[in-house]
Amino acid sequence: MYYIAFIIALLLLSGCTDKLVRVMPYEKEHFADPKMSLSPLEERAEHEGHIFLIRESSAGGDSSFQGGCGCR
Amino acid sequence: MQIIKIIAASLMMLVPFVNSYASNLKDSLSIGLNTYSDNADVQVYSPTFSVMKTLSKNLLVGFKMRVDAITAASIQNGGRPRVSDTVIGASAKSGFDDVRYAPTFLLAYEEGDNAASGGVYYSKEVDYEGKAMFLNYVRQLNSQNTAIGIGLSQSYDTWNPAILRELPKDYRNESKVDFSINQLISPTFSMQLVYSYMYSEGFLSSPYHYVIQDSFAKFENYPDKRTGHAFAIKGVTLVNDLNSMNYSYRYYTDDWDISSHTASVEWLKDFSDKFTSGLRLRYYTQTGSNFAKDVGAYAVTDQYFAADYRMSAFDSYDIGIPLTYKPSMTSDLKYSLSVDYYQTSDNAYIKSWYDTNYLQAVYTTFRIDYEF
Amino acid sequence: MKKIILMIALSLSVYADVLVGDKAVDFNLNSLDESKSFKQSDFKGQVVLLNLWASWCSGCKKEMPEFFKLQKEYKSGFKIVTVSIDSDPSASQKFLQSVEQEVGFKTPFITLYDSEKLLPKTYGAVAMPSSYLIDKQGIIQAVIVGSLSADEIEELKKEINKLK
Repeated sequence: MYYIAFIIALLLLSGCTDKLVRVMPYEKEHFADPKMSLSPLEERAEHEGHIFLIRESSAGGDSSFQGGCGCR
Repeated sequence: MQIIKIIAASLMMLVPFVNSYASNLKDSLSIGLNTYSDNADVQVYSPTFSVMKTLSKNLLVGFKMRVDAITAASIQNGGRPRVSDTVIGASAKSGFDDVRYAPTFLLAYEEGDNAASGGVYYSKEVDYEGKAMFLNYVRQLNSQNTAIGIGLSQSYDTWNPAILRELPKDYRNESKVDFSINQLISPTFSMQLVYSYMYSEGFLSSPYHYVIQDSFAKFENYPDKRTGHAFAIKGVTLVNDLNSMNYSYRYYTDDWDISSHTASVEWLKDFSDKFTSGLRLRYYTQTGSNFAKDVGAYAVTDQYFAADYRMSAFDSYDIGIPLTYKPSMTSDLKYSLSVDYYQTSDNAYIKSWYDTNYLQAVYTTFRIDYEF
Repeated sequence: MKKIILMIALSLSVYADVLVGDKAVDFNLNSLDESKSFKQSDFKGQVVLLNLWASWCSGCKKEMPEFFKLQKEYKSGFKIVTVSIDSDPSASQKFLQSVEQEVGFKTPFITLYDSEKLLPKTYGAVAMPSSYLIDKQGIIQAVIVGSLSADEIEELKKEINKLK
């Protein structure tokens, strides 16, 4: 149910092209800055991904595969 | 002529564009060393290594290796760090108590607005073997203002307990699907939404944990299926040329009635052309599962037993300092370092198992990246 | 490769504000070191590759050393004119210095500075970097989106030689 709603939202988004072009290519200077990354330290993200899986009961919410250590 | 242009343009929308954008695939090498140490007497040293090599403008192959060298009084003592464990009764050994090897092979392909990657992962330790495969696809839209991503992973893991115990099932499989949308909102602000679906089945508890009460001792027993959903929203904002903030919130819920909230905020500042540092705060809170009872309240006839504090309600806090160093703007080298302090709230399960009111840990990461 | 450049030009021409066959956009910009100012009409009679770049763009970093070598091959008749759109001109200068160290010689072409980003706006640039091949009469002959590899520059040279 949740993922169906998500897919529908994605399809709708792909149709709203004009409104969603908010930053031109020559205005993307700041997004090339490492401190503007959603996950600025990759090594920390991977290491704490393992730690939080072992020390907590939740998972998900990241858009990349962390590793099947089966710790959950 | 105009019609030809329009048809050509329409075709370009459907077909991956030919060499129209510089590829983000880069040759690189990285080595790292991570540590973890907590008051449950667990210490882990994790060297990491990765190499990424482009085979063409569009194709990259990569190899990553992580080794976890674990020293744990709980493993030495048989099950629990400070309590004589006659139930498990394992014996101490010299050197590291467990070493886990985890290689990953991956392939990545990029062409125009499309990027795909996939790979396989394997991990091996004394009592556990993990195998997984994963696929990711990202499509850029709206002049690369919007990125839609989907990730799939499937794990096939096997238990081989270090104690003489026949498990009801010796496998643990997990399927995961992630959907994400990234959107640039302004030249200084972008956001991401992520939805994750997770399904696990098999032996989902620990073969070593047990509930001990006055008249009985029972190994942990959880349901053999678990379905979870996570919703996350993340954002990053440039406050001014030198300062940025990134923040995230995740809500998780599953059919064991565990639900959680995770909130994180990080401030980063360029202290010079070369150094960036800042502060990160993370807060986590979860409810307990629908089968975990208060410590000492289990009955021998109960269907499920939990000794792991993660099946109960607790909070945790994390405060950390990140640091990156780049020798010059065009340098091929980059160094990153982080130190974090992590602590849970007081919890009766933690007290019962670890003989301490809460868990506290310090973990660090260090990595050198080299682009060639 | 010719087909690829032409197809890119054809398809993007629907999106771009300036099309293949149009007159090149006129400009009046200072050089990066502020020693001189240049107009598009100053280059009439020469084949020009107008390149819009920034020190923060990864494709620009890959492409710039190739442009250094390309300009070295043409003593006359062909000029590369690069235009930096960095917010901070010192970032552009540091970047060019690092390329000079890499290739072993000074910047062999004109570099202009457009902090207001007027040229990418007027050209309707859809990516960074973007390049425009302009003939001796000042007419745009090709629109190139993204960076050019060494192989693609070999193909581009054939187009340049035809226009010279």
